[in-house]
Amino acid sequence: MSKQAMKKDTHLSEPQQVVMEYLDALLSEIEPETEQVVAEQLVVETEVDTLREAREIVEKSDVPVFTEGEQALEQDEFQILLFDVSGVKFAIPLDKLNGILEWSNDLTPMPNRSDWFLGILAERERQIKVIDIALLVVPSKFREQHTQESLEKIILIGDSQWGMACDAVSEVITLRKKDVRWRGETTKRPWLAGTVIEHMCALLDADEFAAMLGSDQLMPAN
Amino acid sequence: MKVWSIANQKGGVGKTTTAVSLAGLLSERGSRCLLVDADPHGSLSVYFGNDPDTLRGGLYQLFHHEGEYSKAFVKEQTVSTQFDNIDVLPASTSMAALDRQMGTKPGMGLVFGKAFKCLSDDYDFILIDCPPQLGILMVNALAVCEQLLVPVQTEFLALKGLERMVHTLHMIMQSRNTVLNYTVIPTLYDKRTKASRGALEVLQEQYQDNLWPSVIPVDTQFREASRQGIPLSLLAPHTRGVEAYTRLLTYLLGEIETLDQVVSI
Repeated sequence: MSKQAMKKDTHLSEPQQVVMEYLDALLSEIEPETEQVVAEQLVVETEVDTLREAREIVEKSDVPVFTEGEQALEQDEFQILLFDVSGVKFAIPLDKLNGILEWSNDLTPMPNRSDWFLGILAERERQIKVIDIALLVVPSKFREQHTQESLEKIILIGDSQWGMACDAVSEVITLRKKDVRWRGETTKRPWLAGTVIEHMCALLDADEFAAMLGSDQLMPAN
Repeated sequence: MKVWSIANQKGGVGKTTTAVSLAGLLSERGSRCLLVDADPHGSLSVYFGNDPDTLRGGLYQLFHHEGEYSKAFVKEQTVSTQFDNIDVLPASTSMAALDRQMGTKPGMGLVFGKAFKCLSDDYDFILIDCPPQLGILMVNALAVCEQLLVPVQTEFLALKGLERMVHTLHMIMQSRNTVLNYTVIPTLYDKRTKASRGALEVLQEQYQDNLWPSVIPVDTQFREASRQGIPLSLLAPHTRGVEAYTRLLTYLLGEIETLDQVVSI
């Protein structure tokens, strides 16, 4: 075969494909993973894939996603759901999350209640008290553009008694305890469990927040 | 601990200057910084008095002891500098052979991630000065960072390098199935030249969503700072260059500061 013919027969892969194969090889995990880690990754990936899937998981069970939440905490890892409130990112531990609903205009307003109390939502024979969380936790200077029109989701906490209306729900992530800058007990905001700098979010203490909502002690954030 | 990588597949755009300048400013704020020299040329290492030709430890060792790292081992590879809050994980010339030695060995793009986990209690920031070409070191840096900084010299030829860098970034994101934030930083800007002004306009048009809305100007003081081996903010804090990097750092930390304000009122 002539050199010319050999040249013509030579087939090179597409450059893009070659680079992708190179990257895939370098970035592939090689350690055997324990079943638990794989299971946790599957949960995370499934839930991150689409919010709808996350919601379905939560709603189908109608109980905390982590039924063994205590055990998860003991293992130093826990999962949180990130959500947006008036341009600020917040998070709630998944084992404190009772469900996520689409925003509904079918709220029944209640007379003589604070501005942050949006009304009662009847859903699956439940009476959910829906609040505008932005008015309670985001300082006024950060919520100048905030309107009810931007609310798209309702996050259920406190045994589904309370629904926190927020702008968007983004993703579920796994944290270790040390990833959180925990707040001390003397904080002026008992509802703030801590901050997660890596994800730029404030972590809510859902139990404390629900308790405060129930006591009607909360005042709009200045 | 936050990990930022500084990368561009074109040389001479200000990667090392950006890494050192940001580390200088962060250290003054009390943040503990580790500067990682992932470029076999070792400019960052030389900046702080380490010779890549004779160095025995450093980044190279992480690849040859890949696996379960101990904190002591990883710390052993770092060197202190004369400046508070700044350590260096230096380069060695032998790193140039890593791609040849490691080839496409599975998992070798995750070495930085595994090693840096051991240092999460020791540093607030890790800044990685990347090599100017795609290879095992660049892949590691892009795989581990949360924020990618792409300095781009404001001249026409550098724009092509940026295009290539963004393309590489997209492939990494595809391979990792993740999203990585990147910020384009116009550097070596000289407002007197048409080339600088023109290149900046192109950046504003084509990268408006990822462009830092200011510039790092040409400042001869950067050269003097590197000659003396001192971050410019510690040598001459009131220069134009330091003011520009201060603005950049404020911008990059903006989200954190907003969060702090929200939770501290």
